[in-house]
Amino acid sequence: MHNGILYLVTQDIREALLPIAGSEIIVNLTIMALGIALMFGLVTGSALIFTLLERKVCAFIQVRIGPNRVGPGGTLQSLADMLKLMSKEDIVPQGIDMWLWVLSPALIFVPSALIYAMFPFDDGVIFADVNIGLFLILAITSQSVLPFLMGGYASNSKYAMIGGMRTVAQMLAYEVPMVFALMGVVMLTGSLKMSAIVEAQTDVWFVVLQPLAFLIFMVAALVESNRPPFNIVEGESEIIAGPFTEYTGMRWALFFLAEFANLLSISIMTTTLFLGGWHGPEFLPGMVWFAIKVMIMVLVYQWIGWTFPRLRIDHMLTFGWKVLLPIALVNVLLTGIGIYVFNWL
Amino acid sequence: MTDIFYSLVFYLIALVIIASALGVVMEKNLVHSALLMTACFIGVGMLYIYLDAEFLGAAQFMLYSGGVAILAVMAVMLIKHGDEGPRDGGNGRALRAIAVASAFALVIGMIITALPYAPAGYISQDNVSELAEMMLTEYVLPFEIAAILLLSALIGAIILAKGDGEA
Repeated sequence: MHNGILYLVTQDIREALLPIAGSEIIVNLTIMALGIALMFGLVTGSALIFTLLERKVCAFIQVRIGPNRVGPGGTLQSLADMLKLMSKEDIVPQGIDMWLWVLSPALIFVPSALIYAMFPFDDGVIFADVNIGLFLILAITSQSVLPFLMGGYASNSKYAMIGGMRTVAQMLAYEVPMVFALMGVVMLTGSLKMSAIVEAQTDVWFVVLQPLAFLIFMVAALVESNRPPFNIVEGESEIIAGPFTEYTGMRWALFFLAEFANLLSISIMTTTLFLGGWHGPEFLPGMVWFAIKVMIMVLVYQWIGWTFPRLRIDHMLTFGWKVLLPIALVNVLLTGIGIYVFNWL
Repeated sequence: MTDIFYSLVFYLIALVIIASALGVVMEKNLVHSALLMTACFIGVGMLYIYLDAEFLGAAQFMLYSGGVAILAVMAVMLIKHGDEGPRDGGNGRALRAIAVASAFALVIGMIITALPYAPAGYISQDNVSELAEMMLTEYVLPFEIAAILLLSALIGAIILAKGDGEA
């Protein structure tokens, strides 16, 4: 069967709990609750680490020092940030659409956190290994557009509204090439199941077989998660902070929590779909390989973000529709021909 | 135990769908209506997944609440503000509306009670690959026709947006 460490631990807990709880259902519910708690811990914990990492990486690339006052080497900076954000006054601007304004930051976090259920962290360690895994992930990610638009509309401010419109334009434009790029991976695997996609990469990683799709996915993923250089949704120099303009304190922090959850999830998706997931040489357990690859991808995305200047909205949309989409379609065609030739050989 | 849990989930989803659908009609703010419609779409998608049609459910999320709803919300937002103003919602036809609605409910109720329950349908273990198989073998002609229809709609949209000379 499976031999992921977390999977084996779960099996042990299951066996230990069964005589105490008495019924299978209660044990299953407990394990599920544990899994959900772990997932939320991962998301919020990673946000804490990534805020610091982001500033450190940015500083390193721009030949600065970065935060270095709070704690040894500035390591407690994100904790200090969190305390500051929590103690800030919760400013509610006048003339807003109260319900939508309050709901928007909460709803933005839901799809970002929800897709963690479909990520295979190790052999057998996946919360919901459903048949339509990859498609469900894409479908849930597409839900994150509307909360941005809601926030932009509800704030009743020009900058926020422009930011909301930009979100819709860029997210819809890059969702299409992203789906077509991932089609290549699905064609090679013959399944949408996340565990099957990882299984298919036991010998060869898909980054070797699908280099075009890998590049398209990286660009589209950066756009979908509003990472620089594609963060024109907030574009500080043009529209202050886009949909977040009118938010303060913890509500504003929720947007950032979602952004860092997205950074982690695009890194996890890149790792799972193209870099072999938890596969790696035997001397380290799968989970460790997975963590190493994901951290490398996080650093790569931050590196890209802080190296390139921000794009202009019209350039970006033109690039999405007129360059990336045709390349993605060609990639699907090439993959089809490749599979046909491979079967014929 | 499991059965109770299952029906509980069903009634929860049904509650979400009905409440948001009622909200779409009764809400006076058009943007709120459009957003509640999204909630309704998501509820219907959940119902599909509940009924073992996961692929259909995910497609519902992606196309309806991820695409159609956003276009609807955008269109509503672009309408000039302040035009709608506070309305009382009624137009003096409440009695007639109630009569039509209850007649409709009566007919639907009669149909539901008169017809026998359909036997449980075929539940596929892997409905993605079965769907793909069917689309590309048995139903390949309708599939292709739909593709051509969509393509012509796409080109039509571009020509409409760009104007005759430019496109």
